[in-house]
Amino acid sequence: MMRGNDKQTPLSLALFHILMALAGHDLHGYAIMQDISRQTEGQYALGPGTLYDNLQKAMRRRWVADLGHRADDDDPRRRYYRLTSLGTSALTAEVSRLENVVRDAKVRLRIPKPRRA
Amino acid sequence: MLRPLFECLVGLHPRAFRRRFAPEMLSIFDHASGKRAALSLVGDAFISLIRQWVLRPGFWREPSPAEQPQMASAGARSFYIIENYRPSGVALLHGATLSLAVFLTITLAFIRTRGSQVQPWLPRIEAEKSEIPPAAQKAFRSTPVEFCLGRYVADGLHPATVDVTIEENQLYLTYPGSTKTALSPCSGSTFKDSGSSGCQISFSKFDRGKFQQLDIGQSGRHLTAFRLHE
Repeated sequence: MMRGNDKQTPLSLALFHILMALAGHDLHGYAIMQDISRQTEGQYALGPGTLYDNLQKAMRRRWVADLGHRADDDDPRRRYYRLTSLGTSALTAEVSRLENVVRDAKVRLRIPKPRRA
Repeated sequence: MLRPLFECLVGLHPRAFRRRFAPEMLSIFDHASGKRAALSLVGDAFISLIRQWVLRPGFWREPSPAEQPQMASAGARSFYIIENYRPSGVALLHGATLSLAVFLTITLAFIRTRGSQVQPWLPRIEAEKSEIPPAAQKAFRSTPVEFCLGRYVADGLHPATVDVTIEENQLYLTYPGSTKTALSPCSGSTFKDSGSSGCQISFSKFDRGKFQQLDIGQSGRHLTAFRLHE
């Protein structure tokens, strides 16, 4: 977890969703795109150009690792990706930042907290 | 038809990106269902092409093994710090070229839309222009007064006429209801009142062999009169 002066800059929307998609399990590019579409209920469609541009950035930062082709996959062109521990830390930090933002927003909008039964 | 187009767009990406991701991108295209999805992917590839060439110069080449951080040995943490990143010379050159191209494009478009005029905030230097056409300039030195003679009328609430006359090779200016005033040449088509201090008389707009406009300035006041054609 990043602390103090080691705050990371906010992640772009595409990169955030990519890391989220990989947080659950290893996926290939097309599966990442489909998972993001499910995450956002079809509101955000990620194209392969944007996907691989962000994957390239994530791999350079060591947030995502390239696992290569899987033998059980019938399409040899597909390569699988895995979220690394650094990537998990980055995603966790981003989620924490977003939680703070949402909390502040609720205070400003004065949205009541849901009561526990 | 869309597939070859998509393939062409992918093929135009920087070599490092193309070698790394082209097969996967084509795989995604092959799994896309419907023409609409295919069109969307083509559009995305076009945008990606521009993005990679314009915004990602650092990614044009594959990082060499020496540049990549060493993998951690078992049990030991490895850290990757990006603070030491320095843009490559090619990236700097690319950025400078792009900035210059954008600047020139905007400047040329600005000048074209505004015509040949340059905006006031840019310095404008104009050489003094003689009001007299070149053919008449030689004659002006010897007989300047001929172009000035005549009656001029100043428009206004009370129109006034000003007469420019010549007597014994001396040019005179006569206001209505006052005596005539001798004019002394200053430069070109400008004269000064021999009597009053600071009064300047200028003739301009040479047309049909004579000056058409007369300007009189004195102590901040200004009068413009135009030739009366009889």
